[in-house]
Amino acid sequence: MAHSNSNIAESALGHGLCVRACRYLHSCVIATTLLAIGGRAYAADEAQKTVEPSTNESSGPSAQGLLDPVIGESLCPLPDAIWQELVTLVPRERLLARLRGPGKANASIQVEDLGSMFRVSVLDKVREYREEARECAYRAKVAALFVALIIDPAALLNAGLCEQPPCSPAPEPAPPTRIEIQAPPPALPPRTLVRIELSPTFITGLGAKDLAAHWGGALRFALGRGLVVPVLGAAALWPADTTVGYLQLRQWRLPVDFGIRATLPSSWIDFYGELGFAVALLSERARDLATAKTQTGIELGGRVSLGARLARRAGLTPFISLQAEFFPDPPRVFALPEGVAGRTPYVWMGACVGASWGM
Amino acid sequence: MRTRVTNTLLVVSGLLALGCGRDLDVGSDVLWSSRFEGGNFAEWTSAAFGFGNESATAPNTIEVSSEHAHQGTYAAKLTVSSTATNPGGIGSSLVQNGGLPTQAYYSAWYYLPQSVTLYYWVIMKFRAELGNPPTQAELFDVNLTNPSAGKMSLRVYDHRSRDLPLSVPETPDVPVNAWFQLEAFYRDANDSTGRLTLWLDGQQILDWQGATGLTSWVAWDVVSVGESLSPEPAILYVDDCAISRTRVGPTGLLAE
Repeated sequence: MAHSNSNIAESALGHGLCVRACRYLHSCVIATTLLAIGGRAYAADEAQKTVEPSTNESSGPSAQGLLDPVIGESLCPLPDAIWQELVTLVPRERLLARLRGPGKANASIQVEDLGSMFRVSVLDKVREYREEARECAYRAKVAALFVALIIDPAALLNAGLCEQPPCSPAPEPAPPTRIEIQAPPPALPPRTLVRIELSPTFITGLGAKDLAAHWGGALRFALGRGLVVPVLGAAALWPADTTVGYLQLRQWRLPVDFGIRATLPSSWIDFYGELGFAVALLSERARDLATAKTQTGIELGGRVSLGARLARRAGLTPFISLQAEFFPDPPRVFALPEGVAGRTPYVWMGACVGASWGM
Repeated sequence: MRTRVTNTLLVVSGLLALGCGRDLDVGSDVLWSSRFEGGNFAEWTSAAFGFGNESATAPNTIEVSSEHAHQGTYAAKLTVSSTATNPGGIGSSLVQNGGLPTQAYYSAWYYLPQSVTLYYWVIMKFRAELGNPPTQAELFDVNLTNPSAGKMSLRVYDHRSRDLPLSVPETPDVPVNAWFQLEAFYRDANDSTGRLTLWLDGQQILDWQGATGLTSWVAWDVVSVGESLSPEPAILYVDDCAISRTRVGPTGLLAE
């Protein structure tokens, strides 16, 4: 049955059955909207190889079976907005009966906001739609129509449907829209739980007469599936020659940082920014003093970073990032007889290009 | 769990306390220094280079004193007396003799409690090997002068010829009742690359180039040797002496 519903939906979206549907509807608005949807949306692969069932065990049967018929942490569209649109298309009782009728597992309609896309799941059917303008009301209508087609396509074709409140009055017909059927892209798997990034890195301190170019390797971990996750990183750097004031130094650093990463997903590239604390072990040795000593200090400060990676959810993908570390009280470098030569850099800039592995 | 968190915080705090806000002392260009803070002349006699000592022939004296000090508590006090005639150059001296680098900065702080009239009064000296065959001999003397009543100044004497012309238009003033620093750069070379440069309280007053010693043997003396000094005994305090690869200057440090 689910399969036949899906076929009906495909037909309605892709092959102009709306013309016939209009004979049964009081208004052509729904059908023409479907045409628009078909033109703008990417149909996801309906094969349910990678899609999790959309049952909501936690909601459980309530007294009326009405709890959370639409769920999901989506800001655009809001679950409530979908429900409001849905009940204008399919009678509320029929919806609930299909979702949570006797002898059926409790199910909900799930919606996910993917940035320029959104995903709707109902009764084991999943669709992803591209809608880059993020018109949330429009998204809610599209999601409601998809759900209605899955749950009860006959309701849409029922001529008497809109005679009953709370159906909306028929708006003016939309102008004809060119329909382009596109090959359905594969459904995106969920975000990875752990992301490991390994890369060569370049870090230099600003302010020194001779920039200390530290080359080395960087390793970062981002933990969690959300858009904002904790992140931890470290770098192992080769020593470099630099100057602080009148002193020529051999410098070595071991920076470590921890903070949060906020990701802005899109279909091709995920952009992210990081904000956190930075700690660095800093070692300096004079290169041209009569008596040279190696001294080690600790830098404490903040770190910001911007990065981008190809939007593959799992496996290896390339990434690039830029970072800046700020230390308000860097160590002072001292030697006899001239005394304090200056401070180590207040600002360190760096760049990484490497591979990101999502698991 | 709470214990583990506490221990972690303690370790992190300890590391931060050790490392943060700390000066990184990466070394020193001071080859040798004497601050007299041990209350003795051990810094001179421990033979950092070839040979060092302090000496005074009676009635002249040399001692470590706490009457005046440039930094810390102690300074060397050199007195000279019976200087009506002093053809032998008898006085009080602190010597670093031989084994010194072929080029280095030589710094000492002096305190002159009162102005002195004089015929000559040497307070710093470089010696080298001169002649044929080369033998240890006096080369440059830095002298105090008394250009007018109550005024003290400096001149530099080359034992091979005459006074070296100072590179300042007016005779520099040496302060009385205040510490002043004399610092010299000396390069030992038997050709025109030899050099003697002198700063008084950071102001360059001499920059001379020419042949100095014939060999690499160099001696540096902080002395009080004079003739016809008045009043007697003529007292000179000396503190914070150093031999270094870079200039100490008036603000330089000899210890952390």
